[in-house]
Amino acid sequence: MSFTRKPGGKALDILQNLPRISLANLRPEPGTKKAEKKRGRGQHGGNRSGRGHKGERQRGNRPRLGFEGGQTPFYLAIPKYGYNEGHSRRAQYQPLTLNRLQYLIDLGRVDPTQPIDLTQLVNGRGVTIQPQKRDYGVQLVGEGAGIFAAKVNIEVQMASEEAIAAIERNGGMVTTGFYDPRSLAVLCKPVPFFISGQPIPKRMLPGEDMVPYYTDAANRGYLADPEKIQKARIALAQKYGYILPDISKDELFHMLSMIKDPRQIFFGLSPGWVVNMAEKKILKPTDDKLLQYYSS
Amino acid sequence: MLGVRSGRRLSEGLLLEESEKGRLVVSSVVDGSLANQGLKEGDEIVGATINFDQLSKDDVLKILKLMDDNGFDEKVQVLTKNNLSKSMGTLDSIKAPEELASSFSGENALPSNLRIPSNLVDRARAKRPPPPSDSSLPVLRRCDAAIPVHLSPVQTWVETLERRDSKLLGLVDLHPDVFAVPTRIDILHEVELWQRNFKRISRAHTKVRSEVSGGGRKPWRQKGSGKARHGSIRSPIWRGGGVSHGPRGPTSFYYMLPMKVRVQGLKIALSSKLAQDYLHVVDTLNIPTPDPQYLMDLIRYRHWGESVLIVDAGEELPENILQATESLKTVNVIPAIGLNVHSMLKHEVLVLTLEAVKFLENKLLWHNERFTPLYPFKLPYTDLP
Repeated sequence: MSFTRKPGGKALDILQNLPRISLANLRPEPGTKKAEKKRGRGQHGGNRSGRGHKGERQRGNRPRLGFEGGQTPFYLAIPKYGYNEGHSRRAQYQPLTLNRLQYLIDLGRVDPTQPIDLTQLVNGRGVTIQPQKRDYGVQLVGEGAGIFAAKVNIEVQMASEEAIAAIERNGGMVTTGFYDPRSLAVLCKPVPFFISGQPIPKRMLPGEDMVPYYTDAANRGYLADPEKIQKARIALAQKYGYILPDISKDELFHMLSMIKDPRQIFFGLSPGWVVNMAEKKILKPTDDKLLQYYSS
Repeated sequence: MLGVRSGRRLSEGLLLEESEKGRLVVSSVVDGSLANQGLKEGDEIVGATINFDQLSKDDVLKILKLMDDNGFDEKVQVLTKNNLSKSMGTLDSIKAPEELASSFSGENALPSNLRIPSNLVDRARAKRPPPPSDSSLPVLRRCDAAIPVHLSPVQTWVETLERRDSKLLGLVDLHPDVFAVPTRIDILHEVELWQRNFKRISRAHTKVRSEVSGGGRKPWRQKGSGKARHGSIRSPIWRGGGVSHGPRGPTSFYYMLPMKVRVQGLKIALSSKLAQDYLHVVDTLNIPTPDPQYLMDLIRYRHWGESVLIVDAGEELPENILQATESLKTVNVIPAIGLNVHSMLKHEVLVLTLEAVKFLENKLLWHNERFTPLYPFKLPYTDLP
């Protein structure tokens, strides 16, 4: 009697013979609700209620936390050093392993026949990005490079060399692009942004410290020279020992070579446009000044 | 072999065999002590009393299962300890076996210290077994959503409210993931508590010693007056003084249970109603008259129960039923969006229309296969699995 095909199993059979489940019959699982401990309500006006005997302890007059009776306390004796200085302002990049990417593609949550963007990853619930918590995007990590076997055009914010090699070995394309926090929020949750009715902002360029990263062809930066990127692809293939497949002869070449403009957030939408979701219309600016601003 | 109880266990003294007519007959008596019972060779055994006191649980289950296979109806009477404590002569007052139930071991035996008042059960309301698989009635509705391979849909009858004593229209297939979910009373308890408390705003408010009017001045000097020392006439020790640890202002008890817990609560409530035979499916809510008496007659005739909750799918309900239930306290109509665990448990019987069944299955099954929300579900999603 181990396997029963009946839905609900034996529980519903037993239920047929039990009294009706009503408001009077409900109870929590025994052991979940523990009674709260009441202090000092005993005989003779209650005891000391867990406060100890006389002194500052019982009378509630203990000194501040960290006070050591007058000796220089630990937190003052140790000298300062900037280990955690500005920690809350440091950029964070959520890691995305190649294992996870392969898993998402296999399950159909991310479509490899279209360019893979942070929006696609978030829609497939592959990564969770919190732009408000100093997340600046997603970083591609090389774990799972051995089993990765998908041809994708992927755009991330940072990528390790091994990950770039694994993707290019399979005939794909990697690009690293920078998104400032506001653009990142728009990219991650486009629908609430469109409903708010604001025009799509133009993506800001990276700060001083990140410009060398995004202009370097070795990182496949979006600001780097395309020729240098081609040379870097060949160099990486030589370093890791695989033959670089020629993607120009691929049927999906057009899709694989799609790259966003440095000021563009969405494929197919330019900065300055307003998307009306209710009426399914796009409004474009006509004023000269606006056009100049958005195309700069 | 049956062990006959007579104060001592005698299990090897009796040999039984089946005669040509198929009756049980004593073939030989071995032990001399049995002669005291008056049993001789050739006696036909018509009945036996089995006492489960000294048998182990497995033996009891084996015996009950044996009898179950052979038909458990009028041939067997199950007696509990408080019945046996009266003399055996008052067998008439003992109830029929179907009404005795157990909360352990899954078989039909009530706990021995339970006292049931005589008016607890409506005797005419016999629990109907689920429709047999070879029933001739047409299946009016099959499940829209895919059913998992290892489960099969539950079925129940479809009735009408047109006439008081109309026949059954057909059968309806109900999705097992909504109407045959394993019962979790603790989830029902959680959802019920949540429904009661999340809307609660307690407006009790007392004044603290600083808020009570007056009491800024020291009533008398510290020393020399012979009275106790006090700083203000509104301290909590004083009559008319402030309350030290009283309720402070409007307090909200709002909290949200996870969406899936609330959905599971609805599914469990529906399943338990169906399992305990308190769920009825009706094709539409069209009744011939707006007379509330008609509805009460129908409910009493069909032995549905004391209180009925009627659920329809859309917002527009037929006028007749609205008028009829307006003045009735125990019969209520709600749209399917308003279905909630508290109402289902408060009313004894739940009546759903076919559209309501479809609506509920749709809404409740969607949660089984959806992604986590990035933003509220009310905003548009292009591809929400």
